[in-house]
Amino acid sequence: MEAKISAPVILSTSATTPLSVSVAGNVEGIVSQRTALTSYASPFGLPEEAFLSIFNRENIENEFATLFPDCKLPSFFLQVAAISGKKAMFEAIDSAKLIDGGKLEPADFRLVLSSTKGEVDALPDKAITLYESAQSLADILGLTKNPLIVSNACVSGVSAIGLAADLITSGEETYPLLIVGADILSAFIVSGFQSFKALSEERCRPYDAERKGLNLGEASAAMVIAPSEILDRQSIAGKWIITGVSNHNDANHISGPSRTAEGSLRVLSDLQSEGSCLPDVISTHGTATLYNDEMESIAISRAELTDIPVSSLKGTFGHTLGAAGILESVLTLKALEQETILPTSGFSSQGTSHHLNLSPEPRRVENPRSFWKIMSGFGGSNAGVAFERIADIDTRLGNPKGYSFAYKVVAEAEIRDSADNRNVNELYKKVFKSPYPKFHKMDSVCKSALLAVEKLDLPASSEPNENIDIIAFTATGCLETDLKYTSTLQPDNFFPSPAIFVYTLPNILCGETAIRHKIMGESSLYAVKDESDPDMESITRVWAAKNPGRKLIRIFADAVSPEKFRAKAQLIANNL
Amino acid sequence: MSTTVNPESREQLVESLKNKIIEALNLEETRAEDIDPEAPLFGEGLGLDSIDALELIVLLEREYGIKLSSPVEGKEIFKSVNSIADYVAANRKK
Repeated sequence: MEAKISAPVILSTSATTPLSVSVAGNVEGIVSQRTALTSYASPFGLPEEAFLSIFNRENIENEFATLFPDCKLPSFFLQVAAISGKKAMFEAIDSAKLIDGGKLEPADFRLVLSSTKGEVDALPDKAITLYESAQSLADILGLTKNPLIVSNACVSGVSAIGLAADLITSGEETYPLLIVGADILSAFIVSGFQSFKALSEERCRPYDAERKGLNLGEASAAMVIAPSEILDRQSIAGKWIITGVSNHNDANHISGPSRTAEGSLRVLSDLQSEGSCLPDVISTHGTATLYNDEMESIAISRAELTDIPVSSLKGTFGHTLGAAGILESVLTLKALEQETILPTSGFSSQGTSHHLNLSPEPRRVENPRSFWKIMSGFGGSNAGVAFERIADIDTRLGNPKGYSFAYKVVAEAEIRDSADNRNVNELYKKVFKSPYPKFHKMDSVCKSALLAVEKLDLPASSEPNENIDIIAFTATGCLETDLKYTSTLQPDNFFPSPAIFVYTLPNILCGETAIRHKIMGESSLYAVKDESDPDMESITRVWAAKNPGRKLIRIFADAVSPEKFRAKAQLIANNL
Repeated sequence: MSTTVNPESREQLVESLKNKIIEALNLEETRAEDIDPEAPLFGEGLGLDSIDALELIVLLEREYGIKLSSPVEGKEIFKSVNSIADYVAANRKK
C-alpha cells in the first residue's frame, strides 16, 4: 500500500471541570490557585469522608440543555462527556480550513472515548458496557462512525491521544478524531480508592514531603486531532502536532509502580528519541501518593531530565481518571500558548529522593515549542505523548516509517466454556504446566486471557522481554467483577474489597499477562462491540505500521462468570 | 480482655485465622497445615503482596471489628499468623 504523508494536528480542545466549563477558565483558575477540591463528610452516601472535586449536578444539566436543546437528558456521565465533546467538535468545525476549501461536518468525526469506568454508577440496576456508553455518546453528538474506546486505567487519556496520533500517522485514519476523556465519581469509585488507602483527607500535595495520598475529581476534556493532509497547509502554522507516542508496561505489579521506574523510564527515553527537541515542560502524573511521585522522580532522574520544568495539576483537579491525560494535556497546551508553565498547587518542599524542577507558582517561558504528557497507573501501565508547536509546514508533516500490512499470525490459541470445560478454574491444571498461585486471585476475564496466552507456549524467559507488545480487546469488560465489587458495598455489610476493586479495571488483564511473561513493551486495552469488531484489525495494522520487527500478543477476552468465558490469543510477528 | 468477646482458645484462633486468610486471599493451593504460624507472610513464606495487606485490613474489620487506618500500621501486625493472632486477641470487638 502506498505510504501516506500525514501528521496529527490538534485542531481544537475543550475542558469541563468543577472549576470551569472552558479551557481558558480552567487555565485562569489554576494560575490564580483556585480549586474545587473540598472535603465531603459522606460522599455518595459513603461512611468515610473524602476530599473530592465534584460537579454541581444542576450546573451540568443546564450546560447540557443549552448545548443540546433537543436531546432528552441522558445519564450524568454522558452529559459530562457530551459537553466537552460538542465544544471541541464545533470549535474544529468553525476554525478548520480544509485543503479543498470545504468545512468539516459532524459526520466526518470519529469518537475515541477514554474512560476507566464509564457508567458504572448505574449498577446494580443496569449494566452498561464501555462500548454501549461510547455508542450513546456518539449518538448524542451525531457521529455515525464506530467509536473506539480506550480503557487503560489512569493512563487512558494519554493512550487515547496516542492511539489517535498513531491512527493518523499510519494512514489508517484519514478523517478527524474527536477524543473525549470522561469519568465521574460514585460510591463505587470513591470506596475503591478508599479501600486502597490511597486517598488524602486533605488537599493533595504532589511531590511534597508531607504528601499523604491523592484526591479524586470529576472532569471531561476533549481534543480534535486531524490528519495534516486534509487541512489547508497555511492554516496549520502555529498549531500543535503530536510527534511522539510511547507506552510501556512495568511487568512488575498490578497496582504498585515499579520501584526503579522501568516503564516510565522507557517512555521518557522513547519521547526523547522521537521528538525533535527537549520539552519546555513535562506534565507529569504527580498524584501525590508516596509511590507514584517517588517513581516519577526516579524515572526523570534516570532519564537525565531533572532540569526540565515539571508540573502536576492534581492539586487543582484531583485525579480525574480517564479524563486526566486529556485534561492535563489540553490545559498545559493552552497555558504554553500564553507562555506560562502551570504551577504545581500543593507542592512546597521536595519529598522525593530525586530532585524535580517544580514550582507552586506559575512560571514564564518564552516561545515554548514542546511539552510531554506522561502518566502511569494500575495494570503496570506507563504512557507518554510528545507535543510540538509547528511554525510552518515543515518536514515533520510526514511519515518516514510508511504503512504496511506485513504482519502475520504465527501462533494462535483459544479457550471457551464447553461441555468439557465448564468452569474457567478447571482449565488451570490442564493449561499451566507448573503452579502459578496468582491465577486464583484473578477474575474470570483475566483468567481466560492468561489461559489463552499460556497456550501459545511462549518461550520461558528470565530476562525482561522488551520486544513484545500486548494489545487486548474485550466487550464484556469487567462486568462480573463490577457486580461482585458492588455487592461489597451494601449498607448493612459494607466491606469494600481492594482485591476485588483492582480487577474492575479491564486493563489489569494486560498487566497480568505482562507480569506472567515479563513483557515490557506496550500494553493497551480497548473495549469493542464484540469478537468480530473490525477495529481490532485496524488497531493491529496501526501497531504494525509503527513497530517493524516487533511481536504482538493480541488478545480478545470476554467473561461474565466462571462458567461463561472465552478468550483468544494470537502471537503476531511484524516483519517489515 | 478478648475472652469476654469470644471465648476462642489461642489454638482455635490461629487455626481459624489461617482458614480465613486462605479464603480471603484466594490461596487455593495452600492448606491451613502448610502455614507455619511463625513464618513471615510477606516477601518469602506465602509471598503476599501489598494488595493482600490491604485485604487483611478488610478481614480484621469484617471478622473481628478491628479498624486499621493504614497499611503502615499493619506492617508489624501482619508479620506472621502468630502476630495477627496476638493483635486480634488483644483488640477484637467481636
